[in-house]
Amino acid sequence: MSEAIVITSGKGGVGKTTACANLGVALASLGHRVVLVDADIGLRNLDVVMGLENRIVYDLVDVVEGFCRLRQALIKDKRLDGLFLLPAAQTKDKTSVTPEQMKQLVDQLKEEHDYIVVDCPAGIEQGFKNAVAGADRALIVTTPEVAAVRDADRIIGLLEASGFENPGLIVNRIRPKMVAKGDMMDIPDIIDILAIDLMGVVPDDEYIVVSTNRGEPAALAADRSKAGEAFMNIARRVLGEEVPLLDLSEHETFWQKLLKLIKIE
Amino acid sequence: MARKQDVIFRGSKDGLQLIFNDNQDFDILKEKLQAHLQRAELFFQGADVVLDIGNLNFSIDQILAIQNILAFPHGLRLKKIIHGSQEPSENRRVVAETAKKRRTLEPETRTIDYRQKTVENWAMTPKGPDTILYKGTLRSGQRITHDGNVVVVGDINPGAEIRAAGDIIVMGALRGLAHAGAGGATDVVIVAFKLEPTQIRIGDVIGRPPEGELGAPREPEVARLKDGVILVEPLDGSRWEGER
Repeated sequence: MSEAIVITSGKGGVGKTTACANLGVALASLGHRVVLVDADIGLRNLDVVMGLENRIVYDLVDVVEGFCRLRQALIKDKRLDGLFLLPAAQTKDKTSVTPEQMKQLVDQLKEEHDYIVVDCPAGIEQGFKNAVAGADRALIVTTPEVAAVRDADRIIGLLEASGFENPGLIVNRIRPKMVAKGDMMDIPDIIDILAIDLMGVVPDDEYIVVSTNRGEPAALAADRSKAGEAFMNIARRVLGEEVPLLDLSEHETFWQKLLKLIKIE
Repeated sequence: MARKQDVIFRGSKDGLQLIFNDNQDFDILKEKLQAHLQRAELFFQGADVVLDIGNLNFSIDQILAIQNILAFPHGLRLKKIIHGSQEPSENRRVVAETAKKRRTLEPETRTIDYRQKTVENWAMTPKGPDTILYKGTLRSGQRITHDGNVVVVGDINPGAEIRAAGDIIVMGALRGLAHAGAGGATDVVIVAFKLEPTQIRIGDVIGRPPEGELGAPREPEVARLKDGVILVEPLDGSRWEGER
């Protein structure tokens, strides 16, 4: 039974595309057949983050307009078997595709793949409507900022109105130190407002900047970064596994460990 | 050039340009021309022809014979005869040197058929202005399509596209996508001061830079099609030797 998951946020710049790429990589490395669909027509990024930009021949709009067959437009990932990318068009805009066409496309992709992960553009207009059209499940990405949470709330409302049940939440770019000091919204604060299931927490990680610039999603080397590990865990939860939340606390120094030991005794 | 075609028709400003292989026997050229016209039939009908005889020395009789073939029954008019650009042969030595600097682009292996997409909008021969000049930076999402040659004074950024039926010259950095010979022509080139494209296409062939850090090119380069592979080499004039 295949499933289409849309990754959305409302607000821009919270890490939808990064989440999408990493979730795709994580699911594929767990042995599933995955297609990443970039629905951000006119502002495509997913191909860059995946490092597949120079392999694009046909794009989503070409498929929809019947210039090529779906299989011709799918780009096979260079690292993982079973991972594909359907890139967005860059010289067109969101109105080149209708929600009905997107639904058709996603349904067609489902025939041969286990997971279709759709990268939704920011905003709540046509692009958003297209991206959610064929999806069975939604994952909302937010950062621990009031503005991002506000937009996520709006999106959840829209999703519920269009029949989505129980979207999952990914809190991205959290800084444990700031949270500890009380300078940043904590996970319970965010859950309190949004009242949806938490699918994962991803720490703010410099490695993400490096990996997105290089076109090598962090989840490819999940042991190399906390963020990569966090995305791997999110993929497991998407698959239905129970995975405890990652321990995000910074590494303790020798003296801190010693003090702790003494206290316990 | 062993693989050189004996008879080539090419669109130009003055009409159709007819190019003959310098090294071929006249009778064979005549035959080839006849066969070529037979195949094209209505396509060329009524066109003006500029005959480029390159280094060949045709007699008046031979030229008249060609004129006859063109005129009957195909209705082509021989308008002008030119001797194409003749290169001094002393460049040969340099070729061997520059061959070392050559690099090939990785072919994209998926099967493609552009023509199903392009042919509707593209005439096989250029019409309208032969070459267009674009001044400025072509940014992501912007594209130029033209059924002739395109010259850009500026950069082509990643995500931008140029598609031309003829040649593409970028007097700046080519970082996006360039497709020369989008109507199917293969004897076209892509030239850029800094050739670091996301992808280039010539005719039906797609090339992309090899994986990994390459470093920025230090000199102007030219990409063209050779034996079905896109070849990139420094643009220093020497490689035009023996070419037409």
